[in-house]
Amino acid sequence: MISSVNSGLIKKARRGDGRAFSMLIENHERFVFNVVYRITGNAEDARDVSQEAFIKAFKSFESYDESSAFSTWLYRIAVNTAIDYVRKRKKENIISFEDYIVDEKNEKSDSGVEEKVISKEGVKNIIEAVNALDDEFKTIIVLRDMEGMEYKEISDITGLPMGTVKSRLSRGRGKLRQMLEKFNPKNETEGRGRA
Amino acid sequence: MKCEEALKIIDTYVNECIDAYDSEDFQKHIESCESCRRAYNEIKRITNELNNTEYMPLPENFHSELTDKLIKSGKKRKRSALVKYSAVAACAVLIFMTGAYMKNLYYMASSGSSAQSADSASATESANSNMLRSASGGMPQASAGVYSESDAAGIYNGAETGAAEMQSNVLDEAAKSVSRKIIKRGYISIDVENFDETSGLLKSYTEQNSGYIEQSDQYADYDSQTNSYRSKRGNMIVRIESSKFSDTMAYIETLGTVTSRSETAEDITGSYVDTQSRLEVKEQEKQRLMELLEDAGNMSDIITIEGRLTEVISDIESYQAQINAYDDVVDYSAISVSIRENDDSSIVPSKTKFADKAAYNFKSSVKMFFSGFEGIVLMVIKFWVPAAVILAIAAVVVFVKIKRKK
Repeated sequence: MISSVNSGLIKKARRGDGRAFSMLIENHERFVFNVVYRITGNAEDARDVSQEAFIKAFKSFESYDESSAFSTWLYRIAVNTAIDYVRKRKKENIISFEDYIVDEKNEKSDSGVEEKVISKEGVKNIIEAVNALDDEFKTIIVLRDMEGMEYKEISDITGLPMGTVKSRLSRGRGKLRQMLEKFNPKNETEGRGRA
Repeated sequence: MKCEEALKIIDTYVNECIDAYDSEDFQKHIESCESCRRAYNEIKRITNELNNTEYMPLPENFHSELTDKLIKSGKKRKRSALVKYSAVAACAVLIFMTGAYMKNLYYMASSGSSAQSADSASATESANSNMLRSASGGMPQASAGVYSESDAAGIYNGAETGAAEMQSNVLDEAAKSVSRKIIKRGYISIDVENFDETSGLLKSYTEQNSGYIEQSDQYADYDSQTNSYRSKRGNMIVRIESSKFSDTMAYIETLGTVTSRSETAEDITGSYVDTQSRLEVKEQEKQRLMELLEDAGNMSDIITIEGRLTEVISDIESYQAQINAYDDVVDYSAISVSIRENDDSSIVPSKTKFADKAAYNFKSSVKMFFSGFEGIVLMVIKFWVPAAVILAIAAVVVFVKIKRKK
């Protein structure tokens, strides 16, 4: 995975050359930004968090031992940084889609919120639902279903065994389906209609 | 197939599980069960949608902004390395300076001890020469070796005395220029033939030069064999006008063999002037208070003024006493004289001469051993205690850093 050109850049970057590291990561920027965006669910946050992840990677670049692919190592840092950020945000009680669902489950929410949720459709709706998933499922769904990664790669990035990746994916999808069914009665009727 | 099973298969709708979807049971169930079919379609739709979600484009200037941040944090890392190295350099300098300081201490200690040993050697020498001279009983025909030894001692003492005179002359000049207040003190030890004679001479010299003996004590060793006292020793403190200090020191030196001699001069001009000006201020205050007291109209004023006046007078008295004390020590220098009588009676036949010498040498070697041991202990304290403290601090710093890194 590491070409000879890259190995030169890696040497420079290890010595603390920010420009060399920036060249190394250029091809991964969009991917990392998107993964982080899907985990955080917010473009503005994704910008900051992905940049933070890159800087974190640069600072700990000395610890990169080249035993795994550079991309895997980089994505691992990005995913962990994003999850940390989401958890921190949750602690700070920033209202997210998930809060609405909890309210719905407890039958405490007013009709306004429900309408708001129902009004969202299609991809947007699905992405909202993904955002509402717990981090452990969300990460797997993002990497597998949205980024189309292999199980092996997901397992390397998350540090989870392959079996756990698969079972989390399955449970995550089930949750997604249930969520979308509950909040999208239109879909339900469509499904019925098709059937 | 039950719905539960079908739903499980639907949720594990992944590429690898295509067999499950192809199975007849599943297909049959989907066809017959509306809700499962709906779930199946839904999960297919979701995964398809997710697969087809468009990539978000990078925000504007994402790359350039990130590059800037990376370059900056790279610089930071370099700076932190610089800080690290400068810390190491500082430690090295500290250690070097400590080393130099310890080296200095070492030289001080060694030169001090060598001076000490030289002193004790000269004392030994002069004691030996005295002993030998007395042993020869004033016989000029005594062996040449003995004479040359005592001559050497005489030369040595002469040289020492010359240097001391020069020193005291310098001190005198310093005292004469601008009316500086200098306390001069002298310490001198002499060995004499006859204690009483010497102390008598010293007393009369002091009186002639309008000085006085501040303190005098004498004692003698008791010889149980002969039931008599022998070898008188004593200390005297002679107070003499400071202008006659050097002359007096020189005179005392002629009284016997000098075994040690030193002078000190302490400049107290600063504190003297301070005390004087404080005294003046208090005198002025006293004057004003007296005037006020004369004009005072009522009883309470008088009482207040008198109270203050009492305080001021007491201050004046104490300052005056201090000045008087200063004047006393400045005007009259003190010379401590230690007189030791040569122990003639103990020097019997030449038979015991060797035994005495041996005993003396043994004693002095024991003394030297203990002073050497003391020196080693002092060196350990001087060298290793600060070094240990510095090393301990360094160890703690390194330990904390390592822990933090972990």
